[in-house]
Amino acid sequence: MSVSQAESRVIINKTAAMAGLIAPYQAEVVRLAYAEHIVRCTEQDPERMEELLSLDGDLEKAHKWMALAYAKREGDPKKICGLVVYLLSNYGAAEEDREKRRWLVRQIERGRVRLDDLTYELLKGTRLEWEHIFKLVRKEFNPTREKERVKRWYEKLTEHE
Amino acid sequence: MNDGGFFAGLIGGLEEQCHSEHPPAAVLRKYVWRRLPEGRDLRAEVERLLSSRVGGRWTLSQVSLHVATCGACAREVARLRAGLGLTRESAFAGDRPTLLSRKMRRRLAYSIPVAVTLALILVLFFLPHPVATSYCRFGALAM
Ligand SMILES: [Zn+2]
Repeated sequence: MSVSQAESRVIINKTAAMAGLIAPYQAEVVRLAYAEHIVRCTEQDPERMEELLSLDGDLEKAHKWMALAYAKREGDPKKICGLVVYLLSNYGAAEEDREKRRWLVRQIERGRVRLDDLTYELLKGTRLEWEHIFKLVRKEFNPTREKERVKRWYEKLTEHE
Repeated sequence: MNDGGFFAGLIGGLEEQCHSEHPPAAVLRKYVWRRLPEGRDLRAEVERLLSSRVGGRWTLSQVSLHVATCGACAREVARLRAGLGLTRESAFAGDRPTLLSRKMRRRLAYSIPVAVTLALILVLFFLPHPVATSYCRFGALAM
């Protein structure tokens, strides 16, 4: 898809969202589904995701998810998977689900849960800490460095806007 | 996470919705046991989910996002995780019963009563039959 085609698609999506044809809820569902796929390493190429990830015209969020997928391809994929798990766990729900958190932390500590077992539903509200993420991906890493990499990709994606 | 809000606003979170269609109980069970297939095409996966025309095959993400926004299904998933005679711990790798072992158990459930019946028939066939013998003797005597 050419730039002008992509741009017009985004404008159409934005207009449809404003007219109430595409609820922000639906767009959020798409982005969370993509986030789940990133965690389980089943995501599709970020090049082809812009339109689908910005159904409500929110290009900023679309580009951030694409930046995560690009950063995952560039470096150690497990570190970006870990970062996305942290995001879904800590920002996926307004309220903490203490019972689910207790259970999931126990699973992680016993090494009985893998990245490809995880879903948004399972992670939301669990408020995992970095020590849990490191156990889950079986390595320690510097989250700040990974976040910086993602931000650099985001800047690359948005530099022509 | 101190990142100037770059990541904090990325996930809006989903409110509970009123769904017209729900995954069947068997699908929710497969979801808990992590036996649902991955969707290969996110576009198709999402289109089916958003248009409530899911039907047929449910994918892992479709069920996850449905359960995340459906109170009734969330309660059922919590019940399944805790119940089914299993602890929540055994829902993941390590303790997963395989499909084969389930089949084996089902086969055994059928074959044990059949085997017992056959054994009983054989035992009765080879055992000496005192009633019949005495009847013959009685018949022979009567004649
Ligand atoms: Zn439901």
